[in-house]
Amino acid sequence: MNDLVLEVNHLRKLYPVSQGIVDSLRRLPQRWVHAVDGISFTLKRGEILALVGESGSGKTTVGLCTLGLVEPTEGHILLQGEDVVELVHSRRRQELRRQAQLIFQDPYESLNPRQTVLRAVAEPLQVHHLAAGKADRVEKVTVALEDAGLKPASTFLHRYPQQLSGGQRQRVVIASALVMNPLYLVADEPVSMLDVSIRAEILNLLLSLRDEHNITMLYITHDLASAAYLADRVAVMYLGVIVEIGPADVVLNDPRHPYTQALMSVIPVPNPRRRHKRMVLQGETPDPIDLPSGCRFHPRCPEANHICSEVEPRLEDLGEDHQAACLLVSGTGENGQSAIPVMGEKVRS
Amino acid sequence: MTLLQVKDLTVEYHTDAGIFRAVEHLNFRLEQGKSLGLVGESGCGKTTAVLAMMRLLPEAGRIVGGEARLDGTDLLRLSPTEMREYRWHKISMVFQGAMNALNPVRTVGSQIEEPLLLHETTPRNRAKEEVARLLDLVGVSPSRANQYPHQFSGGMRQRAMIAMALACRPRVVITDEPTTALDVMIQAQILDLLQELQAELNLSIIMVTHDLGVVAELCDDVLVMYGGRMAECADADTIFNQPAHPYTRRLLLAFPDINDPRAELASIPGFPPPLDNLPPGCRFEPRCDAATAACAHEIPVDVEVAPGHRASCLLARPRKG
Repeated sequence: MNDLVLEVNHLRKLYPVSQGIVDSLRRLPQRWVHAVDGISFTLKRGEILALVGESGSGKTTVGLCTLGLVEPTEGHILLQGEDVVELVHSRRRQELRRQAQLIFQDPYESLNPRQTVLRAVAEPLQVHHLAAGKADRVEKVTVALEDAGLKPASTFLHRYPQQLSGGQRQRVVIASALVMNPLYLVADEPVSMLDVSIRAEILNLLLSLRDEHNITMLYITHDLASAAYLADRVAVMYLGVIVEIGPADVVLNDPRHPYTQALMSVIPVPNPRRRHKRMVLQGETPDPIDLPSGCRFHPRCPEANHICSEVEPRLEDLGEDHQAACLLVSGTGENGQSAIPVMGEKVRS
Repeated sequence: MTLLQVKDLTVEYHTDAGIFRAVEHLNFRLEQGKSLGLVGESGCGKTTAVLAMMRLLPEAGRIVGGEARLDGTDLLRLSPTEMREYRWHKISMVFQGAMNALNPVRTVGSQIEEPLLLHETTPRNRAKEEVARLLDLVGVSPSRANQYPHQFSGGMRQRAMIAMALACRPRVVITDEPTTALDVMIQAQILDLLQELQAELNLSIIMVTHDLGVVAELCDDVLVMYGGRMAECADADTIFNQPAHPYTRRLLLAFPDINDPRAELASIPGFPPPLDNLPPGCRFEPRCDAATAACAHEIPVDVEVAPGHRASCLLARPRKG
């Protein structure tokens, strides 16, 4: 049990749709954005889970909920066995803020242009009173910068963000998370704004942080190829739910959900000899306000049949710790169930 | 048939801080109905090169040499008035950042209509019809012509930008990072669209991108740029399977491959050279793991590695057999 760093159970997060005055006078019912609609997963110490999905799939909301920055509508999130929401409302909030850190997407916007690298990275230390005096602060910042690959740190301390390249800025952002010695790190699209040639070094840095500091990570991305490179396990999200989850090797070698298959087929392969048919889904992810009935993916699914618009699939065991939520995929694992028994239980009107 | 031939293109930026050479002696050709990928890291001069051809360089930019012949006419020698006849009619561009390239306070339809009316390719009373045809061509429902850009998703805005570029039926379309800010699935839709349009309209496309995957999926030929110069140029198969320039090889090693996810990614150490401090010899020498003493001071000349395959590297040799 001690090995589990993060447990997410049936997490839901709904946002109210703002109503105009006319709507409220007409007493129209409140409508909701189903950003995250019932997801569960766990993370072991030192594990990297990639949360993969398109814009609007709810992956960032999940990340923010696990950090206690967004309060869930339903469900529980346990960080090392303690309820994150309770921690946020208790005196031990500072402890949570130390242990759980976030790396933002855009290193061009997440650093204050008027702060030196030293000030930016030292700020969390000051907020948490973690440094005994200036010398200690500089010492801790130096260690964090070098851990983030900015060596020698002394040449970076007094620079401003505009004097750094995109890759170096992202390293500064990572250093300001590392300086707190976090247990758990959420990396939200940390490489999508960077040049391809720099992405590899940031991904390798994240891997080395896991190996050397045993940091547990939630890697949020829309890019399955980088997820495959970095993560131990992969969870594919669509419209607020996980449609497939499992060990990265297993999911990528044998994707079972049609959505995962489509996502994989559209990833550009860096060799013209391996050009293949792209399974391009038409249209865009539907609105998370009025969700499709049955399987949320059925309006865009190339394999959908009449059942799919009526029955909401649940995650089914496929063996090897691999699960997919699709009525057309039958379980092969020990607890595997075919789609048929599910029908009777959960028919949506 | 060669449609566009660029020879010795050299572009400088004249600024208060000095003169910077952003593109130097660039040579390439674009065949009718083919697509050419222009690849390199940020700041390697790829956007400057295409803006020079469009004659849309920012004020500080100067074309100091070379030619760009489109069907025999040198675009770089045309007067501004003559160029206006060519731009959009013969050669057009889909600008980087579809999110921000449209005017937010005008309807999408009126923005697509603008080049039609300005260039008088379509009489005013037929313009609406033509806008509908263009929107349909790029897969947007013509009924949305009266909507504003904020009512369009990112992918739809990119489609509208493509419709605008096609308005005057050009033969060459330049796309600058057409899919960079888009989600993977929308990116795939746009790539499919470009491929269909290319086949349907016999378009020639120059695709500026740093994404090697997109190039491998779509382009017939590839030009790899580094520090404002050509590093390597060949057909796509050769670039990806028999690269001759160390920079091309390093770029390929840095790109994740979904078919081989555990292959170790190696980034290229260091940064592209700043324009105010270019290395005297080969521009890639400071970052090159194959560099010899000569590379630091000798400027490499183009080596014909094989017919149609050029590499600008002192170590490149013609391939045998």
